[in-house]
Amino acid sequence: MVEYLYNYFNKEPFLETLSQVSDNICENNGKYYINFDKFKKPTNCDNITNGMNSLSSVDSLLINKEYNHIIFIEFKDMNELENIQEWFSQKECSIKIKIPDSILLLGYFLQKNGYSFDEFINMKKSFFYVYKNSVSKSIINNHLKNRFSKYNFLLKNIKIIETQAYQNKFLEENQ
Amino acid sequence: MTIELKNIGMIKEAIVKIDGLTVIAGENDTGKSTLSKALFLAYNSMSLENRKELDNLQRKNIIGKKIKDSIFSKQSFKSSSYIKLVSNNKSFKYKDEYINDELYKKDIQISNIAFIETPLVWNLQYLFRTSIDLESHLRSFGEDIEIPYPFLMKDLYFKLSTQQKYIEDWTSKYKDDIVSLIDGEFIKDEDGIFRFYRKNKKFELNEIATGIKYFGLLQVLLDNNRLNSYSLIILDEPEVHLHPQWQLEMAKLIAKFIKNGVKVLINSHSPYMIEALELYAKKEKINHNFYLAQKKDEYATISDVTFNLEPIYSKLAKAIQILEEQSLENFEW
Repeated sequence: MVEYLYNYFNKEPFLETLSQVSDNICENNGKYYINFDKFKKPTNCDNITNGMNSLSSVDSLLINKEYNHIIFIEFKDMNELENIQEWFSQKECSIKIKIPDSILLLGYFLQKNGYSFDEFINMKKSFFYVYKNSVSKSIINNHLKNRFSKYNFLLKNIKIIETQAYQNKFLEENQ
Repeated sequence: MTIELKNIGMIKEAIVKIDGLTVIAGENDTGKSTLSKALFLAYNSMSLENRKELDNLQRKNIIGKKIKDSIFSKQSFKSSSYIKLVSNNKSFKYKDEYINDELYKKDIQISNIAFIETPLVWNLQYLFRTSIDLESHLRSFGEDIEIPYPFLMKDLYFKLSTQQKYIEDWTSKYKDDIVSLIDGEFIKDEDGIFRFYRKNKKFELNEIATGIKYFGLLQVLLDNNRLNSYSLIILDEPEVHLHPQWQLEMAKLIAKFIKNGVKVLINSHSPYMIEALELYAKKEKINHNFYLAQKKDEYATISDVTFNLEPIYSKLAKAIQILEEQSLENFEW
């Protein structure tokens, strides 16, 4: 199943550079990453999401065949926000919706292609919230770190990390 | 008013403006408390007004030495050390034990400074009360002894136990706000001991939460007319005892006090507290000055960052960054 997803998404329509996938908050490292946002658009996935247009999705996926593991990744530039507290109160729920929506979308897609939804639910999945901010890291981290705990039963790891740490400590070591 | 320090403790040199809200942010062991204690020492060594009698100068020297010995170690002061308060081109210089009088308490419009180091002063109220009674009793027999307890706590206890006559009418509203926030009130009983009253139940102060005790300090200082437009209050890391939400409430209250003329100096290492102070200072349109204390080699520097707080937040967010990076190092596939 992971192999299938890996092969399906590692096709030209879904791949973009890191800077494009991350809305320019990560520097381009010369590799290509899955633009999961593209997937929810019916034209790019053979109408598989037909009737599910209101679903939202995270920005990118990292699929690790060796460990049978998918990481859902959402990027956000917090430097551009004038008031982080206001953003928390208005937009926080949209990130929470993106997590189950993305899982639902991928599960539905796999089921339509003959894979077991139960097997997909049981496979290892993680979520990274990758943000860019130079001044309020502790405020963002403290605010968000327990907001996603209700997804603990679905996700092996939930990480809130700044772009530099994501690039330097994760992408460099794991890609 | 500005305070200037030279070679005191780990601070080599610092100039800090005391006007409205002054925030000194920084990690532990960067000289934040040293500056606050220096301000307390210099202020308490000043004369109220221009009286040049020698006995007055000697008296202030004695008080200054007593405070200095109580709140600083001997190594903190060198021959080149001094504290200078400057206002309207006049200055007051505390250098070792010699006091240079040009500026007086009346000139800076501050009639008292309350230094809040810890709310645990409430836990020691029985000790302070008994000791003061004992000292006074012995003094009546001609024995002039003084029990060496922590000076700043004793001074605060004195301000909590005694009232000033000068009253400003804005204070009662904020007292009510505190009472509502902590859902109770600090009241001095007839035996002279403070207790916490909540819905007709009374509690000894060692039974209640430390956060409540912190707000209780402000409530009683308001009751005693010791927070007014002639007061300066020093809060040393108030966040230590407060839940993040109460840190915001504290910041909001402080901004209101300042709006009514109280001058406040806060040392903090909490991003919550600092961000809230920045927000409420702007909202209330009060004068505010932010400084960052940093240690380099064995010395500390205090820099003015009022117009760009980024260095403060970056410094204080370092712990989060380390945690984020370490959580990825041990990532479990």
